[in-house]
Amino acid sequence: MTVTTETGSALRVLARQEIRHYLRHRLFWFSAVLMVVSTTYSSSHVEPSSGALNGLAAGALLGVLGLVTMYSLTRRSDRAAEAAGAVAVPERVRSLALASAVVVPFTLAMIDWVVEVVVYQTHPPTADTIPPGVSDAFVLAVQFGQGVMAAVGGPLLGLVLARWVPRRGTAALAAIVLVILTILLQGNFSGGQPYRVFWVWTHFFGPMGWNGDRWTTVPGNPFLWVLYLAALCVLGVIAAVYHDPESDRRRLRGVAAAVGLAALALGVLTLTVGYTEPISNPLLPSAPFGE
Amino acid sequence: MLLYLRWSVPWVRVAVAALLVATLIELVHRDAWLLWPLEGTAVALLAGAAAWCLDEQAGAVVDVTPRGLAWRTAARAPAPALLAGVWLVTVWHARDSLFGHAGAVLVQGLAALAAGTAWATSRRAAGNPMPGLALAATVIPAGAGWALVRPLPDQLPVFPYGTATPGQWATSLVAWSAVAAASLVVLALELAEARWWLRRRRPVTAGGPGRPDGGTTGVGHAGRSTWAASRSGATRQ
Repeated sequence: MTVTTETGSALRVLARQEIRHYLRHRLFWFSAVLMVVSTTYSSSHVEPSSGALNGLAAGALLGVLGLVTMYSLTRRSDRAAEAAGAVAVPERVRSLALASAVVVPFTLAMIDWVVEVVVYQTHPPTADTIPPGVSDAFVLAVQFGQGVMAAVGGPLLGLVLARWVPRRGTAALAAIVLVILTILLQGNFSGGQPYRVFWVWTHFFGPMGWNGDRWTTVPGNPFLWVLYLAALCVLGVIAAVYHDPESDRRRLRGVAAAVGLAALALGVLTLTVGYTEPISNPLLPSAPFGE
Repeated sequence: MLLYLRWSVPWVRVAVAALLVATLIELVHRDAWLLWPLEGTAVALLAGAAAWCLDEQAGAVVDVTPRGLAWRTAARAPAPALLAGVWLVTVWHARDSLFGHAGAVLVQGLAALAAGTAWATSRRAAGNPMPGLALAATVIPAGAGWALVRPLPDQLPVFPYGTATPGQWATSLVAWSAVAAASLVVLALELAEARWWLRRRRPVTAGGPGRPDGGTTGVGHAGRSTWAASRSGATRQ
């Protein structure tokens, strides 16, 4: 049997094990239950915007909590490897196995997104919400980026942090910093903060306070933003694998540079292609958001 | 006790938590309508930080020293008290921005502190040396997630928003007050039970280190913790 075959076999076995661990993690269950509750509630109490901003639930619950879940699983995997003594499975294989466990939050987020799509199609938003000219695909792409991509990216960020900053409190602190930065980079400040598209979670439309609470698009292209986020996810996996000193770091550096450049290009394109200026709905919302 | 306080409490982490709490509430103060989820995040951070203050890395060692859990908890109390002080000051400073419910917000934070302290003390009494770390890693992201999403805002107004009705604020206040009261009861019972348990479970053996009056020695709650640790440790392996 070749080394490659053995590694592949170990990866498959470990991946299945990490997926099971993710499924059994109490924080995942907490987030999953809240997700189901939130989705059920929003589906039965459809807002005038038809849940156009509902990507927040998956992003916060599967993304932020997923960060901590994956951090915890990675540290657990490290402790098990340390206890085993002689390392039978390289760290990079364990990292890849852990990365494959994101299939769990990804699946849940996809289900949630499909529900949101159905709700959006069956209960079109009212005229005072989504600005005129904004397509359904635009709205659904935003929801996909905010929900599904965050559900994948959050756990991968947890994996990277566990590999590079394995200190007590890192996950909790990272969750708080993530929440603070995300809230500040929603595009809710004057001009819509075009640079915010480089952040991992943001809005592309909504009732903006700086525009008299009118529904307004903020600069950025959500289709390219989703691709940008996908490139960041790939970078995260590379960063986690790169931590293993026995990995082929020279090759990984080349791949990381290529993916990093692609991510940068996609980020710049997100800024420059599509709605580069805010578009506001001339109608004032009939009810303040949140009521 | 001061020496114990100085070396046992993770002051850097407490300072970071206090600074973060102050920052979060200051941000809420600047734009409560936009940044309100940070209020819930701060409350969750208080619960996690309070529990973290009570972690005893060398639990297996200190559990068999003459200083009991009650003494050690009392010695560490200035750390949660400092967090409570920071919370009081920051909420007072931001009182005009809290949708007219500064009192309810204040109770949320104090209840979270009490709950974190009670939970950590309860787990410590059961023999778990570092329960705070696990609690912080769970409750902080969970609280932040809840504050962001606010699921079932009508039925479960955990962190009511500016658009919440007075009834929802009242429900929230009652619930948080109940959490605070229950936490204080649990805390008192745990700290007191340590001695009661010792009297019940550690009979003085002939020739052993018993007191002249027939009571037990001041070994703290070592017997309980050791017993509980062996019980829970077996399941954790």
